[in-house]
Amino acid sequence: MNINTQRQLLATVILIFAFSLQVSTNAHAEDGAIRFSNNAFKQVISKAADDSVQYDYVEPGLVLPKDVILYEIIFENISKQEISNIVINNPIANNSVYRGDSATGDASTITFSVDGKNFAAAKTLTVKDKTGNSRQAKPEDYTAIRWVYNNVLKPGEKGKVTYKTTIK
Amino acid sequence: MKTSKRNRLLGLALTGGFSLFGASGAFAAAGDVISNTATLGYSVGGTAQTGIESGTGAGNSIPGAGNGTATTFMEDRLINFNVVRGGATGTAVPGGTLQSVQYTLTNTGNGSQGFLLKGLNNADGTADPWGGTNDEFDATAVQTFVESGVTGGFQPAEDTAAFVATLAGADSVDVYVVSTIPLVDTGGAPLVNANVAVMTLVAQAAIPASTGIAGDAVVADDNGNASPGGTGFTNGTADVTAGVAATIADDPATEQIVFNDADGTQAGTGVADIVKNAQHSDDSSYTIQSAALTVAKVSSALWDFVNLNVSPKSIPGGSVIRYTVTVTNAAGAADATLTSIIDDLPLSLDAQFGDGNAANAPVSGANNVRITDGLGAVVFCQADAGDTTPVDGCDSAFGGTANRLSVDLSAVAGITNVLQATQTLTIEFDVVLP
Repeated sequence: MNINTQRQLLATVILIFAFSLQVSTNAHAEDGAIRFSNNAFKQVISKAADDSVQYDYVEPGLVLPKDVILYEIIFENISKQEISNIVINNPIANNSVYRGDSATGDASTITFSVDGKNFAAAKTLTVKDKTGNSRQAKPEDYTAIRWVYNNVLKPGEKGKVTYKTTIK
Repeated sequence: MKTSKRNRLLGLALTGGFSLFGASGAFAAAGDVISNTATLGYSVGGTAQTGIESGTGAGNSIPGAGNGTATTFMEDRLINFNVVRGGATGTAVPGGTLQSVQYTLTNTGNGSQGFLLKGLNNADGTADPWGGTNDEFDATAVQTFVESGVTGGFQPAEDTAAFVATLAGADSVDVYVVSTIPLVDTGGAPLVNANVAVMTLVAQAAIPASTGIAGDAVVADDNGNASPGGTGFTNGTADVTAGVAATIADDPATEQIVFNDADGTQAGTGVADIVKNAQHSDDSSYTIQSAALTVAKVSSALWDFVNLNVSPKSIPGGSVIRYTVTVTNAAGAADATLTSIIDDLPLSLDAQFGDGNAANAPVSGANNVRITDGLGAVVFCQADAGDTTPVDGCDSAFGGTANRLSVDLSAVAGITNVLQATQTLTIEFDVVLP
């Protein structure tokens, strides 16, 4: 290898490195755009002295069958740019059954899936029973939830979606 | 190892996050880590960005797969089960051994569980849960055995396990309380049909174990509940030390134990079975159902030398007399297996069995005893005097010191010697009046 060849090779390496740096810088620019959390809480029902029912949500330290778990999913724009087209997917956890009508979401369209791939409104989902006939899916048939956030999330803004499951 | 030591070990192991309960079955949820991660896709300036996984706590802000953290917690162990008496009182016969009462044990918890078992006899006066008379006799040699699944119903040769090594969540198994029945009640009177002994089966939750191994009792949960323990489980080979109630702080990372069993019926024969004590119990009963036989014997003149067979009289000089012996089993009684029927006739008869020559003789030829079994089948056999080894079951010994007819019903071919409730077996034979 002559010197020119070596120079060309070095230049190529430098160019690749510089490009990599650029790509890396661009990618790094995405970091920190959204802070995204998902936390589980156990629902505890208590009765106050005035007979009113109180719902508390505590750390799921002791969890038994039939306990209700609240999942609270928060997304926050921590960048200086607007964020759009936010879509959140969440599979139903193992040993858990979705509680009907429990999903909520700020400015969101909520759909469900019975196969984890195809999402549709709850009323339009179907599954096949043991005899092969289709029937409307029940909440316990759902395997995943999807929230499509219909707004633009401005810098500093937060959004929240929630749902509940029952432990098998 | 004493049970208390075992339980301390169990507590230490659980505190350390290690489960002694072993591998969970396919349907066992206790000890499973429940994990959940959400993903979020978004655009900036109209350009789709790399998706981001959720994190716990404040959250995750680094896009890309694997950068999030699943929210997790462990499903804890709910110990819940019940003992329910079987479909009917256990019928028993006075003096019977290995008499059984059936129960069903169901694991309604969320994991496999072992169970230690104990059968108990109750005091006189205890109410029969099946609505019979109150308890009035005491069963002895009380044991428990678990249905093997080979042949339904208690089979002494098959159902030999005295405990349940492991029972998966939602599964059930039949358990038998097995006892010896006395001949008399607690007052010394012979047992008769409808006499009752009330029995109790107590099940104590235990750590699931391999087949043939009784797991250690679980005598305290993490929720402030304890088992009362007790002696004599697994047919007297296992005593369970009472647990010490303690409340352990909830922890998402460890499998904690919570008792949730209902209260049971054990009361007068031990510590009362309260809720959430890792024990459950139910009462059932033995009801004496034995054969209730009535034996009757009538005679009638069949022939005499004056009247021949028209209104014959029992007059000396060769009259033929027919004896009819009936054995009846009462309605509601248990099947009776008849063996021998012996009829000692008056020595004064100096008689011999009819030879079939008499008019209206019920028998023919040498077969001079007619037997009608409970189902109506009729056979004849020969009561031949001096027959020391009667092949047909009939024998007689006339003259000397005894006039005896003996019939071994188990040896007579062509009939059943089992007499069911309301059935009657009849034996007819003729004698000659000298």
